[in-house]
Amino acid sequence: MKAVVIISFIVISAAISSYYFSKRINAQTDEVDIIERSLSGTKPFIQPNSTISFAGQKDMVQLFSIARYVLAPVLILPHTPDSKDTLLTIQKNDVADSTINAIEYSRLPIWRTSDSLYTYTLSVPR
Amino acid sequence: MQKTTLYILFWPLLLGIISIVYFFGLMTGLPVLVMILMLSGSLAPLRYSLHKIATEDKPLTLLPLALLLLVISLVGQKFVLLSEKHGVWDTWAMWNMHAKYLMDSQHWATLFKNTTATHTDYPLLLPANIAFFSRLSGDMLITSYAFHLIITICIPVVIFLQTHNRNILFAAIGLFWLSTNDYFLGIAAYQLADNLIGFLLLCAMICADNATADKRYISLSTAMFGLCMWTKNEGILLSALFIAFYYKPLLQKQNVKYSIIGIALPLIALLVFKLAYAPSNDIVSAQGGHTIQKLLSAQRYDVVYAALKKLVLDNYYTLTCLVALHLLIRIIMKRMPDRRVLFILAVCLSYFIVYIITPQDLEWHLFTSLNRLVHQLIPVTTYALIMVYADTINFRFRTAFAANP
Repeated sequence: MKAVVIISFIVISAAISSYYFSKRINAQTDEVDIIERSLSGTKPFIQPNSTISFAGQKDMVQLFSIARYVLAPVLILPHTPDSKDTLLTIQKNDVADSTINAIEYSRLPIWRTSDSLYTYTLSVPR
Repeated sequence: MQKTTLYILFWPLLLGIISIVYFFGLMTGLPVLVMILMLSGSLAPLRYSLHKIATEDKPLTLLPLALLLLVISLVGQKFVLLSEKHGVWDTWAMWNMHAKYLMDSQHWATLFKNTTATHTDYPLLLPANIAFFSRLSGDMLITSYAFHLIITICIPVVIFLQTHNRNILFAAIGLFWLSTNDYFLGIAAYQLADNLIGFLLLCAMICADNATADKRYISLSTAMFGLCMWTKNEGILLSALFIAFYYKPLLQKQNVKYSIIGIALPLIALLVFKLAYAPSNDIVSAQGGHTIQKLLSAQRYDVVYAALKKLVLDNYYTLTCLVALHLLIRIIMKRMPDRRVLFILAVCLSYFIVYIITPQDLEWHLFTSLNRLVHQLIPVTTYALIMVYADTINFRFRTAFAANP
């Protein structure tokens, strides 16, 4: 009897706590959400089994990881000069990067969007 | 062992079975519906075999029960406040990212083509469960939150249930310490695998401590540390040390078959995973000529020692003092320290050595992982200290608190 009471109480507490957590997070928007919303537009261009390369400004490991998380199970690899894959570039709105601009310039953009933080571009080799 | 504890142990066992069935289901291309049917089929025999294991049925009196229910709701409330939407970096960039791949039956193996900063060599207990339950619920964030919350609640509950008959005062102190410690709960709310490892290790130790009551606890114990190995790579180190310290109950001739029965399934899953899918581990593959140099570098020992000392004294001062006091008492009494405490110290020493030989930048590695590795040991340390001091100071309340007045 006591076992049933304790285990039921654990389940009920977890359910109530999850409900309040859900209420709390539904009112929040963080960087992952912003990027996820923006990259949702890439779905017609990227199939789940495709491989794309990624280029961002210096120290953008976090952006690379977020892009990989929100686009999984697509395989995203860091961009290399000899890469022939579709390229995803993400740039901060207020800081232009000449290296990224040069890479983008040499390719054909197929999709572009921007949000409050970044500009996102998908491009293919010309 | 208390009957309620045994029922709670059903949960990590079930998580282990779900993850292994899900992994083999992905490998063989089974539809989720078939996996659910297989899991439902395995529940009845599992429940039946657990039911047959000998338990103590000392009932909880009303006050300890009320304490327990209070603590359960307290942890539930604190967890809401301490949790972040997507967890911390490793939650979304590693564990839940792995789970996202595993949710796709067709392209899940693409996960292992990711090579940078993802630790795809980590075993699948956690991401396979998050993937499985997320497919059922349709919401990964809430699934991950609820999963880690239940594990976190179970830790103080199991410790209290197992210790309140030995010493109700110490058991209650341990219960409240764990459920009100924001540092401990904060790391649990990161939604990483370390809390799960801590819980599995606690279950393994509790089962091993009960091995004399029923030999089937040996199977449960080896299953639990087998699941530690199936959760994270350091689980292999923890299991090796656990076997070394519990070799008597686990490896006695008449008990070996029970040990093998328990560990077989997680070990097979781990071997298949490591041989067929996982890339090599960065720490293991980077070892070579530099290892000796690192082992001989006094400066590295200083850095690791300073970080460890700062962490435990800032956040686990009481536990550290109690461990030190126990060692002092045993030295004065010319007796060996408690096996559980020695095991915990041996794990700390092993982690210390891992940091010495790490190929990563030492300070970065310490900064990003030491608190989580120490967190893995907090449940077993709390349990061990209550058991140790319950034996050292044979003190009981013979009032309304007493379980058996």
